[in-house]
Amino acid sequence: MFKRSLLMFTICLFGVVMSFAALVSAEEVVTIQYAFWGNPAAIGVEKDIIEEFERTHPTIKVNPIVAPYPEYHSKLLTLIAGKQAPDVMRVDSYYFADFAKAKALMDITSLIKRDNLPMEKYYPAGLLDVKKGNRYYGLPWSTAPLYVAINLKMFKEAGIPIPSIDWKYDEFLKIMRQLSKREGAYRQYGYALYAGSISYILPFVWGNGGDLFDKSRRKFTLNNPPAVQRIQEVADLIKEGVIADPANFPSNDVVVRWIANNQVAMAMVTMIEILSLQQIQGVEFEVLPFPGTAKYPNVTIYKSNVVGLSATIKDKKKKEAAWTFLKFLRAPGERGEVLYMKAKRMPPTCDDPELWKIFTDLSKPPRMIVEVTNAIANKYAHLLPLRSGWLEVEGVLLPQLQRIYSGQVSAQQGLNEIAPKIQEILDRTN
Amino acid sequence: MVAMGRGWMRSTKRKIREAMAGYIFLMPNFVGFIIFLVFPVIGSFLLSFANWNLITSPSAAGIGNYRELVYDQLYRQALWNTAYFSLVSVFFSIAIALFIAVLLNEKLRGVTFFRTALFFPTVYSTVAVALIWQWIFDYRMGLMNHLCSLLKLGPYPWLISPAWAMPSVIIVAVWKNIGYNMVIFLAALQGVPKELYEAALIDGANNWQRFWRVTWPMISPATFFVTITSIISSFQGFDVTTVMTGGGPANATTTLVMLIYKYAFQFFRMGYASAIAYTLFAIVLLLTILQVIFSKRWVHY
Repeated sequence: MFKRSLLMFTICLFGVVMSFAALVSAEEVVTIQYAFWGNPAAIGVEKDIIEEFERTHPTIKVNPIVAPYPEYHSKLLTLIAGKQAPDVMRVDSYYFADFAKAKALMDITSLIKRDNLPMEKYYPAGLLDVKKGNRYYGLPWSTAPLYVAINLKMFKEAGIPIPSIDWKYDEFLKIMRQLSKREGAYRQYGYALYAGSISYILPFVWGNGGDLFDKSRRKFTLNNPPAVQRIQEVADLIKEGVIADPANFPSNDVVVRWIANNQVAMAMVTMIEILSLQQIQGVEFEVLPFPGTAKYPNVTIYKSNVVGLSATIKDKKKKEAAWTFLKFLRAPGERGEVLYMKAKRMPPTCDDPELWKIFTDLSKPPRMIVEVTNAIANKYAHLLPLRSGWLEVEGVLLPQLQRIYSGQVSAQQGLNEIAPKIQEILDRTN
Repeated sequence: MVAMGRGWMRSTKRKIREAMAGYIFLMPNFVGFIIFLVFPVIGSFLLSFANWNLITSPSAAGIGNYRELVYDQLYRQALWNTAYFSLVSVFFSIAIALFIAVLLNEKLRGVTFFRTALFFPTVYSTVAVALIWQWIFDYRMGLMNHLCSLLKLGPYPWLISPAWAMPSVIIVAVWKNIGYNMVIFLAALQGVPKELYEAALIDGANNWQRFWRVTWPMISPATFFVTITSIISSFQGFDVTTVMTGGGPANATTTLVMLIYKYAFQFFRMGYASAIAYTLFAIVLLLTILQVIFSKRWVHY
């Protein structure tokens, strides 16, 4: 009888222990999805970040969702539409307004306040691209300017000294002309303009007091005199052969090749292109802000993408786990930023000399990058007037700009032609 | 009487069993057809009367999307580009394929090699082919301008000028399609009875008359098939233009299918993209009906 009771007791105890263990383990491990763009076959630094995060946070498992950039946002939207939104997601700043408007991203302002995240450590200009009004919808990712890369060999051969960081548009124009020349079949250009994005023409326009939209971002203003005048000047410079015909550049990678081949003296480049230039042996180059004027000095594009949380997370534990991962990934002083710096994917999002030390390799050009980036962040930065419907506006505007650059229509005529269509897009997407 | 009734019952049961077995065999394909074709077709038709950005719930738009198409310059340009691409590429891909097929129908040395070589472009990956042609047409370093320079011609802005871009894309599309059309024509040519040629020869017909009076009518069903399939596929042109030009420069090579892709997956306007898709469907359907009607005059079965 005793033996039987003991056996029964042992079985019950075992059952209770096992159930409890199962319950505890099920409660402890929370799985979250993290979506980002990249090469699905080689996710690189993201893998290192996830591995280190899982090692230091054994109760959270992170499943990556990766897609190449061209199809990433449509995949993300399809997941959201199918009620399978990733818990943590990276969003390009071009799409941020649309995602925030559609309430796809969670307002994380209260979480930032609760955990006292030192937001002042971020470059202030970078934070503006992750906010809607005064509310935060994510943390900045890849905050970086569009620099002007200058080909030092071409400058040296022409006897032109490296301009100072506070150079002005007139000096830029003069250098462009000095460095463009034609010798038989060989042609060298002072500047290369990439026409695959509106971003590359806007610094020219800003320098003349024009803009794409008015301050409320509800009215199209690129057909106003200051913008038209400057765009026409650019088209004339293309016709003169001072600026290389943008039709030559299906992507900015081609611009990089032309700089490396000493066919182009200056061009606007992103950090990715700077890294590409660094890989080419023997190319000596430097970076500068885009030159403004005394009246309009801050004309260098400063852009920040965002990593945010899905607004559809309902489960408290999952929300907490996703927030913990987001902080690890993007918060100042956390490991994510350090790992990104080691991988040299992008410059620091925070004004932190230690991060810059990890990121920069002073044996390689551009040697002034820290100084120039800080100058841009604090003095010369100009944010893109991003808003809902941005890509559709770009879809209408870019082909027309190509017609203007190729001399098929004047800037005034071309921009007036598309103004009603763009205004219709702005009204519809407001 | 009872025996007859039993026999009828047995036969009916067998027929039902056979019918059931038939439906069960059909089921996997039929379910796939319903899920992956019928539902999306109906869904996109309904969507063409709505606004939907994939995140928020769709909202009714009435005929707003179709009305917008009337005033959309980009749509009109894409429609024109598609018609231009379709008309020119279909004409040349049929004419050249027929010419080559007639040549390769003769008993010549190495004819098998030429047939194989000419068919190869059809089986190549379109993206890989488009990338190679992109290099061939490169303004500065391309093979085409290099060959032109040997003849003291050019350089020509193949892919970078709005006027030249579409002809360049058409050259690639024709080169890619002639192999397939050629095989269809070759099969048709080999089916023409030799006696007809012999009779024409006895009647004193020359080469051209034999082609025009014998070959052409006899291969007209093949020509009709090739014309219909070529027009349908040319209206769906997407891959070559996307890789080679991305629709540019200045929208000169943007086709209707590219526009559908842009509106759906770049601008996230699913309703408007569906409306464009349905106008494309209507155009292709109309063209096919017209061809079927007019085929009665020139196709001889």
